[in-house]
Amino acid sequence: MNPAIDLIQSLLLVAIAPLVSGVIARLKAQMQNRRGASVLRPYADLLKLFRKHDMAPDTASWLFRFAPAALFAVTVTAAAFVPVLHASALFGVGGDFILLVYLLAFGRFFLMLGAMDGGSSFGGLGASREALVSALAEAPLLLALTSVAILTHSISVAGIVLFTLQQHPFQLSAVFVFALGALVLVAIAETGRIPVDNPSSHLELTMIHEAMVLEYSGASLALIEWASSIKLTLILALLIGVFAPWGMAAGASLVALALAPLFFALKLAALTIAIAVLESSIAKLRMYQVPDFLGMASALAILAVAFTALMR
Amino acid sequence: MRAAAASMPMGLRTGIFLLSFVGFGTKAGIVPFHLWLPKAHPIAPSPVSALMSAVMLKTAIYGFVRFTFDFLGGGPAWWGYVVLLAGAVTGLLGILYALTEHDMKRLLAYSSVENIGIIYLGLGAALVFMANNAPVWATVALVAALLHALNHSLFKSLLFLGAGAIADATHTLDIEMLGGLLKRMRVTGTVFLIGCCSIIGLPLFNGFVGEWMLFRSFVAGSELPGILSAIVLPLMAGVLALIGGIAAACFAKLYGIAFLGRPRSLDAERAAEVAASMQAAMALLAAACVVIGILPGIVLNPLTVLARELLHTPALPEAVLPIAHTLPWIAACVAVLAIAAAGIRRIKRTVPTWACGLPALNSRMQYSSAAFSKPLRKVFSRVYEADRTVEVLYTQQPYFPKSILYRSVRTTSFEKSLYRPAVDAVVGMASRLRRLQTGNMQVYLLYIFLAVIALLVFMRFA
Repeated sequence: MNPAIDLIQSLLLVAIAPLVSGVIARLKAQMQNRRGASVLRPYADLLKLFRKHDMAPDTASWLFRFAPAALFAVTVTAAAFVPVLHASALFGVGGDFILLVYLLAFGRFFLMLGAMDGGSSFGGLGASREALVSALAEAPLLLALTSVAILTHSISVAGIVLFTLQQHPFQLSAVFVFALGALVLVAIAETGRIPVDNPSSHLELTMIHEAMVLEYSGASLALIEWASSIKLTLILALLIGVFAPWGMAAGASLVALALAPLFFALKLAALTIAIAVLESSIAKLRMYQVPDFLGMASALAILAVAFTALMR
Repeated sequence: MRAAAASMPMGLRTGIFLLSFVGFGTKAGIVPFHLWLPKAHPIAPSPVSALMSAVMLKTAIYGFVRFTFDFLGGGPAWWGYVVLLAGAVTGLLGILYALTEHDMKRLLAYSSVENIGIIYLGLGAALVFMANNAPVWATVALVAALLHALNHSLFKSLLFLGAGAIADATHTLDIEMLGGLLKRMRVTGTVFLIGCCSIIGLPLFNGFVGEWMLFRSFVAGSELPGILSAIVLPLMAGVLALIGGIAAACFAKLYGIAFLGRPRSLDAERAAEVAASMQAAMALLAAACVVIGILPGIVLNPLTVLARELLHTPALPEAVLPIAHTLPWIAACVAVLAIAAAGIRRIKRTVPTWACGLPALNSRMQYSSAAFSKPLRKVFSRVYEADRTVEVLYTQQPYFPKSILYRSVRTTSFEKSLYRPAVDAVVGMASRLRRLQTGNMQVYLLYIFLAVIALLVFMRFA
């Protein structure tokens, strides 16, 4: 509705993304009896990386340095699809969930290519594993969002959020339960968290994302790290918006708009605590158990779609 | 013909539909009639392969659309489900077979099978919508199928021409022998990248627009009154997403192995850019892919007019219009951000790739094409039932083999399981009939005599 609000909430999502990563890392550290770094540490890391030399392997082509820029650009564009404080978005009407899913796929494809341009075995290893996870995660992600879109009679992300916002919390369809289950599992896979990938692992046997960015340094690495944290925050905001948007402003009421950040912060905090607890309490899955994990997400998503037809 | 078709009995119409489905399906390469396609397309010279994929496959689509939508004017819903099923199986198997290929043109040929599957998904959805009295959404699905047919002819021609350029520069199409070509063939490498982005349906490239319309019509399937169509059509969105996901893995493999990293052979290392005329041809197609991807209106409007004439519908639904207006804004947003991000001031340095402290890396330490596709091949092992052989040659020490040869061959094939038994049955019957041929003149005279008697008896009583 008001482009200024939409612009502000997109920028907010981009700006707080490193903070979300920092909070999760801090919470995890404290759960593991460590003090942990400051929650602002990711910002310091980004600042440091932007000042450092940007090194590229001698075998690499122009694509190596272009890939992080492309990843960053599509991820930030995707952030403009998701309502945060107000149930609207910069790409409101045209910003549908299909475009959102494929914009994220766009970034992933270029990150995979950038990894393979490094010319070492790690890049190919990471890209190959990422290809596996993303190939199997795309279908449940899209199907779960399809079921929600069918229920809310809207394919645009902002439209879905607005519809749910106008419902009573306890009047939601059972479809939401299945869709939530599928989306949570896919979100874990998409953002590379435990038990699918360990963001703090540098072990050849387990790493996916870290293997892909091994050759990157300086500003390129900063862009990739920032983009990953934006993607994490974006998916958390999507989960909040689709399944628990209450507290978000819908009209032009200033009071509602002033309270919205508070509600969003509370819900985001709850999700970060959930991630920290999950990551501290369970082990990473073996590589070839990830397809079963995503198979479970697919089954839930298929049920969600089937129930939209059975329950109308 | 339309008038005649309208007065035909249902059985005859069904017969015509099934025969045109199998006939044109064989030409289009739907599974299990696709056997000839991956054998025929790669053999031809690359420009001819491009034409075969771009034009000749589409003539089959044209024929099928003419028969089913124009002459017969649609039919019962199960026609649509048959076409949807054929599309889903063709798309999935096509891309899974493509994933295991190391020969660039065979990979592209299998990917043609996959894209024909996507087109058939659109045609099937259109038939289901027509049978359910939703002609407006049938138009959307038909436009999606036609648009994907057009897009496929553009990006597949581009990719086949790219493969031709690579064959010209390196004398091989085996991607295990390539690598590092983007550095040596900048134009070919860049336009090939545009082709790859288009074929896997990334936004801002033309492949996305057709797939988006297809997704949109599948979601609209939930509004149909029938419970079956309201479940099946939205689930097809998942099938299309799975095809898209595997396609992304497949083309990341193709591009990453052939164009990025270090060269895997001397020929690849010495590769040089091809002639300007070849570059221009590919650049033209690449430009068309990008223009349609960002401004889809220019092809959507004529295709919509075409589909509306075929189906006699008034206009497209409001719900599909925003995409044409959104894509230019997305393109502008992505372009500005990417330029800003790429333009950040930084000190660039070129260094050798980190080799874990060892002297240097060589090309054999990179991931190979077979290694890249291994995880997905393992997940879908039931589709391949691979026959693996590992030969290790030891010298003296047991831990340091001199050479390891690994081979993994797909053993499942429709040729073996479907066609071979039928061919064997015909050949077996023929060899049993050969007993009639004794080589004895008197026996042949006896045959003639008996035949004449039989004819006389027949004529007497007929």
